[in-house]
Amino acid sequence: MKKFLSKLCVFVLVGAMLVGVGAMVGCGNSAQYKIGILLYNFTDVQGQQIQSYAEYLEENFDVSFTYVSVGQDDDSHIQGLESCINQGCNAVFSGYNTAIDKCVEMCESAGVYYGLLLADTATSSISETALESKYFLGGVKQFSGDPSIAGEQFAEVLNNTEYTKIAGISFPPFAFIDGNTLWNAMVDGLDEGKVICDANQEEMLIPFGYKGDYYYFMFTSDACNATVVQMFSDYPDIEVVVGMGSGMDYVLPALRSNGHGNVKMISLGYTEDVEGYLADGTLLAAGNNNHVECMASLFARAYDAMASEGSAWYSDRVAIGDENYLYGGSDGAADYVILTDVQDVKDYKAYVIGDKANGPITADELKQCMLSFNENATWADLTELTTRSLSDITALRAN
Amino acid sequence: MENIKKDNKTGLLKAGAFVKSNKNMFIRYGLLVLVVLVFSIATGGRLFSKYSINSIISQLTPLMIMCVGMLFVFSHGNIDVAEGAVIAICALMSIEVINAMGGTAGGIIVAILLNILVCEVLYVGSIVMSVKFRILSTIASLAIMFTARGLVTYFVSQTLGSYKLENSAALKLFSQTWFMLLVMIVIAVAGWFVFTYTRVGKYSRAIGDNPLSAQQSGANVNALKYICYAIAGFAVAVSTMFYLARTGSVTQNFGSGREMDVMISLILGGMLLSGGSKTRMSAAIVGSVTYVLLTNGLSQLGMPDMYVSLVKGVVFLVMVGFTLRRQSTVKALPR
Repeated sequence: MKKFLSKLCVFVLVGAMLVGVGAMVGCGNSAQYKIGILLYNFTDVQGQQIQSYAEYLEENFDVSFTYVSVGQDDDSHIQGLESCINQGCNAVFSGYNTAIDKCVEMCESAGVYYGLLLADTATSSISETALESKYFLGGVKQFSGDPSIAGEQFAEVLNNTEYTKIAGISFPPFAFIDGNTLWNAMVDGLDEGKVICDANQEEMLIPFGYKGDYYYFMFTSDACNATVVQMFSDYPDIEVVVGMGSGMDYVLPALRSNGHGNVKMISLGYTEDVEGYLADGTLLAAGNNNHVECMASLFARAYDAMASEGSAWYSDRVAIGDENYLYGGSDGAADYVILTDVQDVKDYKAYVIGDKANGPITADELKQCMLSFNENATWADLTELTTRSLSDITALRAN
Repeated sequence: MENIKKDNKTGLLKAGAFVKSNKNMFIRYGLLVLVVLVFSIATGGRLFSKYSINSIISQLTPLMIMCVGMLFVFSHGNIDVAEGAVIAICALMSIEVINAMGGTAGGIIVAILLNILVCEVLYVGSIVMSVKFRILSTIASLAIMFTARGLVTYFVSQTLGSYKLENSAALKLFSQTWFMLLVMIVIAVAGWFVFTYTRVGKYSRAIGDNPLSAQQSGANVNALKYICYAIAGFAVAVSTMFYLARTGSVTQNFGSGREMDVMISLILGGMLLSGGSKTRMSAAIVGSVTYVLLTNGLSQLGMPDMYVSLVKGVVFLVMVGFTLRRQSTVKALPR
């Protein structure tokens, strides 16, 4: 047994090292620029989409990408960044604003550009020093920079149904600040007679001065499950749940496992099951970030910065140090795709998560909005390109 | 001719016996040499570039300090799982104190003293609870872990998502390579001396083998446990400052997973989880170096984090298997 264990240990260690060597040899292309991407994982839709568009960019630009999955704790994030810098990356895209000041400081000392792929500066706690660093690329505002638009769309969906009793569930407000804006806009847009099942156990009949609170939980499926139990204990007759905190991954399974499968849902989040649930009416609407647009927005800035050694700057982009720059002007924007019927899902599959050469933003379109390829490119053009809606994209690609 | 053959055979037998009796040492240093050699070649020397060495030192310093402290606890056969959460609560307090005192040296000293106080209360408290109420020390440490993590989550949820140092240069000293090396070496040497040459270390190893025999040999088992947990608490308090200097902020997941890093490091250093007479301080020192080189080497080669975790998990499992099998090889103490 001891011999077997010792052999297994040596086998695992040597195997791991060989796989590592293999990975290094496999990635041994000689692209001019190398970009690292930090995400919790690359196995969900989000990670797959980001990786897929990165591969498309590799085919069309002189860049290579390296993917580092990081843990959720601060030190693990820093280790991921150190790994990217050690691997010789010229720029790093981080999915999150974890330890942002420290990350920018590290990148600055290593001469590496750093940007937020799935977060923005307006809702992050970031120092002015980091924000004004030459090596900080900015972030990407989700919901095209205005979450209230998605809230209004959800209100419209709800107003078109006969359901009146509505509850919301999300991550804590501090963790998903856009969720607050979305929720408030949605409640504002509801017709008279709709009722918000407020988390403070007081029903709010619309119109009502106070908007009502949504329930929230701390990031785990167990916590979500407990919150769903609490929610239905407070209001056994809820008809629609607006699942803003990972609706498809956490909220829907929690509803089903607690015997509330007949309750309708609006979900922030996308999985392969969305089409079926929209078809059978379980879902009234679902949504997801357009990750291609997030990537395109940050990639354009990173590539221009790397190619010009930080000097390229769109003539119409707010200057570093300007008040507007400090309050979100450093961020690009990307659209949030809202799916309300099966046809939307089909279009989404065909033109957003499908083949990137026929996707939301082709390489040629992106080059037109990059200073490295078009000296007349503007920030407004780039923002318009990266906030195309599903209907815009479908209209462009379907023909 | 026959004599020469006989001499050779005797030599081989002696060498075999030497290897067998020093198996732990061979595992400890062999693994380190293997990791250094393979990753030096595979990364084309990048693992030892200036930037990489700096980042290795900044990862190694808090880990080695914790391993040195935790070795005292593990030598009894006890396991602590609260390090990560305790680090988080201490880091959070440190930020509050340092910010409140304007990022001055005085603020940092107060933060360190407060960290030491809190860590001592939590660690000594947990072992007192374990001894007085006769519960497993791991259960007491789980209670500490959940309480501390809950507090961190609560406080972080009251902010915009993270606590951060207002003056990011406040802890610059703790990011200086010379200072990290100095503290790491001082604590490692002090730990080695106490564990190898004082009664605390000698009796701790004896307790790991057989607490009753140790007691009958004159060891005050409970008092020794308190002392060892106090040493571990001190190590956690010191390492907190280095972790905080690395990140400059605290979110609700700060420090999570550090307890596993410590356990795997000690195991890679050839330590038996059951503790006992074969425990050596070199397990903490060499193990933490091996662990940091292994994780950095794998990630520099582009291996996805999930595979790195898988490798860590399998190595952990296999080495625990070794530990269990080796119980029979531990000689009983003379009665």
